[in-house]
Amino acid sequence: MSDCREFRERMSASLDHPLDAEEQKGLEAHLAGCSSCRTEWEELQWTHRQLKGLEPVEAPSWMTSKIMARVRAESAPRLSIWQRFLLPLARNPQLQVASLLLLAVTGYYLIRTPKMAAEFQQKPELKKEGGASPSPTAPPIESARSGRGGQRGNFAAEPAQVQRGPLPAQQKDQEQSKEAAADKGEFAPPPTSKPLSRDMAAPTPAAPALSGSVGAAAGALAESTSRNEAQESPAKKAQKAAPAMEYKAKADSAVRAQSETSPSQTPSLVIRLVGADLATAKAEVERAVDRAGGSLLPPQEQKGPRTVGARLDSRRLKALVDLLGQTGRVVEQPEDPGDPPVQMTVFIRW
Amino acid sequence: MSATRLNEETEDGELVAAFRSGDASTSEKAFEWLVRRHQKAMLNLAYRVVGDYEEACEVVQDAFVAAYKGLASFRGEARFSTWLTTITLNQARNGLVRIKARRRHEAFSLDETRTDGEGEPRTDRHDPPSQAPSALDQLQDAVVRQKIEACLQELPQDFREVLVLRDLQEHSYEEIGALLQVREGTVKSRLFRAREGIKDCLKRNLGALVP
Repeated sequence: MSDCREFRERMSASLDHPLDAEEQKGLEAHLAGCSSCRTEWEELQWTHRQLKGLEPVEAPSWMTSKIMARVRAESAPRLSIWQRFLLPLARNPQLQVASLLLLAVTGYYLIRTPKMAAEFQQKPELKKEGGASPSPTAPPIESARSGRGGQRGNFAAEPAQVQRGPLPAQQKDQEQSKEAAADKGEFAPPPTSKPLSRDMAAPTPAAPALSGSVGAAAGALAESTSRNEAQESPAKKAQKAAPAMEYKAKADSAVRAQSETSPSQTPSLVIRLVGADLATAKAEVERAVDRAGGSLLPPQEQKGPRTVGARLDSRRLKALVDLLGQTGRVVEQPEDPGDPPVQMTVFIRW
Repeated sequence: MSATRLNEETEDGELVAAFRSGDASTSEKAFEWLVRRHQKAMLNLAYRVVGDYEEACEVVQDAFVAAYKGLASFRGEARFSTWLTTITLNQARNGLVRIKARRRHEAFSLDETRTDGEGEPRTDRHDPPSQAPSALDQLQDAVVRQKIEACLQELPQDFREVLVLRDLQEHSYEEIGALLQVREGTVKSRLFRAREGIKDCLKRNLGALVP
């Protein structure tokens, strides 16, 4: 068989070039005596003919032009990215105008956005006592906090809103109308800036602390129920009032702290206290002011039956808030006015 | 040499010289004549190697673009056609890689069933425009041609290249050795095994090859 392999290689070679005489003679002699190799030789010749007979494929008619187009594209000078970007700009005035507009708008927003962000992030400075009064047209700066506190005195995690400086007239009207509505036992309108979610239930009231879960509107309801105090025990009152008050608390998302301008134009702050016992709130708040080192405002500067106004050193604000936390729930912990310390007017409402 | 003096009679060497020394239009014209002259041979080489007409057309385009880029550095040590054949073979190998990748991708398709390699040879390749008359008496020849083309694709790439370069392109052993960067003995050996391989493949697919 090794002989056959050698002759088959010689067969293959003979297809490409004539063998020399001796090789040719030896191959013919082998083929004459080996039927297997003879068949192989015939099959090889047939395959070779078929292979050589394969028709050549034609190039598509577009081939030359396509190749030349690609070649031209390759040979064209390559423009840099800047050239590719700027060349159409240089040729087209409309594109120039559009680009300028785009640049102007982009630039405006680039300049404006960080400034606005900085404005919002900036801590509002409390006006020093006796200093220049804030501009009445300056918009109130709001700082809202989200979160939820279920415990009394947990004022750090309660969604609320603090406004410093003079209240705009419209907002004052809104406050007054809300209070009026609360006095009538109606639902107070929700705040427009940051409504609380409906499931923000206040802590379940425990008798006799009727107002343990309410805001201003709930307090109003508690007042209306207190007219029937003689007929009902405090525990019963709490049981009756609690669902309604809870609903009130949900509906009344106006729980917030606000600042107002005090008559003396010193920095002022409103601390909203919820959950205080209406019967004892005033005394407890006054005691808290006293313990915090503050002094109560004269009666003519007080702002209503459920508000206590006081003057306080700004450094004692934190202490006051802590003390108020024992009376009710401070809706939002006022921000520390920082240095330098100032005498400020604080209105505590419940 | 000006562009107007270039024509289909101009030798490859002159066209290459015109390409290198002429202005832009002369270079382009010279290269266009080279394209016209060699594109069919390169297309046939590419087609027999990759087995797909459309891919072969891409291969030829890529090969000529590569030749255009490299022609300035072509030193004329080999004939232009040999140099171009080398480029086309390299591009054809790239084309084969693309085809294999495409088939792997298509293998995930549920719409069609294919058998490659071991099973029935693929017969769904893109065929070139037929030059043969469409007569029923040519049916047998057409079947044989189809089987030969399919069996050619079943050969290992090294063997297929040698067989195509020798039996279809009619290059000498020496040229093939130079093109493939192998010794002549290797060319002979590969050629023998390629011929045996395609013969055996045809026998499997067509039965007895000779009565």
